[in-house]
Order: sequence, then structure tokens, then C-alpha cells
Amino acid sequence: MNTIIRNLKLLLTFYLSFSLVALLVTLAGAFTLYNAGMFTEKPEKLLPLIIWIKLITTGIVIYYINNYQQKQFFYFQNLGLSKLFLWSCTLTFDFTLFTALLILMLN
Amino acid sequence: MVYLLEADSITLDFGTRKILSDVYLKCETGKITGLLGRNGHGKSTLMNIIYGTLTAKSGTIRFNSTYTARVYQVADLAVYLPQFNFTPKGLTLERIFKDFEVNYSDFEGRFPEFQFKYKSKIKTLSGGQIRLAETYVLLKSKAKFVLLDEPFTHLSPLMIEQVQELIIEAKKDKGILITDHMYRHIIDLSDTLYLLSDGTTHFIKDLSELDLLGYIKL
Repeated sequence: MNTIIRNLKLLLTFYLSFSLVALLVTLAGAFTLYNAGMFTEKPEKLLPLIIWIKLITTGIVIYYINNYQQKQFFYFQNLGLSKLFLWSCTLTFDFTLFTALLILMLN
Repeated sequence: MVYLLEADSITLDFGTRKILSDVYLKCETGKITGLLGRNGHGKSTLMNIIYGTLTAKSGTIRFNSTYTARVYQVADLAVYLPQFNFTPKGLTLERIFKDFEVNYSDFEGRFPEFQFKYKSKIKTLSGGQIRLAETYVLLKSKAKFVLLDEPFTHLSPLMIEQVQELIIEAKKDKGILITDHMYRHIIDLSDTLYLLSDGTTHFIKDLSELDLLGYIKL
């Protein structure tokens, strides 16, 4: 149990290293979709653009962290968490949040 | 029980440049294994391969004779101190000691300069203090093996002595693999010594071999 809590805290620490950009892009996408209804009858047409922006910024974030903040990975690896595990868990959370907000805005 | 960590027949090249060729190294609990070598001869690369964060072109890493692909992913098997400070700057000493399940009061008792710094963030500490705290938590962690890549970097002479004492204490129940350019410290500390030269490891039985292999002049 302690290990699970510790690992969740570690995942949160890792997520916080790029959460500002990730959340800003998510919120900007949701905000755009929400307000698009005032200008067009089909705001869902903006979805591909918003998704592409999210994917591209996520790619940039991954590149930046892997190349310019790679030292911190040793902290997590010393506690048994691999790079793949860190990225897959945090990005799953980030994209779930992104998708949920977009669905909410569309409805 | 004695545990054994071995790197066997390790080969690595970057394009046409051969970095490691048929490297063998053995580290066991209860002993300090020193790894010497000039700059750029692959000491850190070898440590990364043993730790599992770099994949060799060929060769195996074995723990108690069992092939182990990624040592760091095996619970409580090994930890690695890289050449640089690796702790995320926003973390506090409290968080780091809790993550590694290491007692802070023992630490501040031993290093009084850390008194009242329990809640301090890493970014407020000096390079030497960060290095000392990182080395301490790794040496006191539950891991059976500790790989130390230049642990004396950033440390004052007094701190170096204290870290040496810590390493000697830790070897009672751990295996230590250590490399540093302060080779006299490594020679003094080590029970087993290897020199990495021309891409391969040479088991050193006598210090005169270091001279023969061109590492030092006696």
C-alpha cells in the first residue's frame, strides 16, 4: 500500500514537471470549443485542429523533457519507475482529462 | 548471504567507434569494487549498462547468475548515483528521505549543517550539499548494490572523508561499485579493482599494473 501511494506521488511529481503546458493547452482547447458555438453551428468541426495542437505540443513536451530534463529520470529509476511507465501513466491521465473536457464542452 | 552482480562480455559501439569490447566486471555484497579509467573510456557507459538504462550491443548482466535485463526495475536490487545531481529541484529533503525510506534524524546527527533543513527544497542547497544528501540516501537505501559514479565531485575534503566512511559502513550489507577521478581514494577504498582501458576491463592485482597500463605513473 505504501509503495502504491509513493508511486502515485512520484507520478504526480513527474506530471508537475510539464503540467503547466499540458493543462494550458487542454484548457485553451476546451475554451475554444465552448466559445465556438457562438460563431458556428458546428463547433465539432474544430475538433481535429484542437486535437492536432494537443498532439504536437505533447510531442514537443516529451522531446524537451527527454532531452533537457533527463537528469531527473534517475530519481524515478532509483525508486523503480521506468521512463516508459512515467510517460504512459502521466500521458494517459493528461489525455483522459483532455478528452473528458472536450466531450463536456461539446455537450 | 552474498549477492553477486556481474557484467559479462559487454560490447558497445557508437557507429565505427568501439567503446566497450568484451568487458567483464563482478561486484559482490560485502565488497567495494573500484573502477578506474581515463576520461571518455566508458566508465559511466558501463555503469549505465549494468544499471539497465543503456542497452549494450551484446553481453549480459547477471544477478546471482540469473540474466537481468533492467537491474533498476528489480525491487531493492540496485541504485545509481550519476555524475550529476539528479533530484528534481522542487523536492524537499523531507520528501526525498521519505521516498527512499531513510531516517533523517540520523543524517542531521551526522551532518549538523543539515539541521533545520528538513523542509528545505533541493534548489536552496549548495551543489556539495545536494551531492551529499543524494549519496547518503542511496547508500542507506534498501538496495543490495550501489553504483557510485564520481561521488566525490562537488565535495570538500572533509565531506569526502565522511562519504568514504559512509561507503565503508554501507559495504557491510551492500555491494558497492565506485568510480572517480580521485583515484587514490578509489584505490584506498576498494577491495577489488578494475581498470577500464582500450575498451576492456583489466583486473588489477598489483598497483604496478596501473603504471604498466598507462593509467598512472608510480
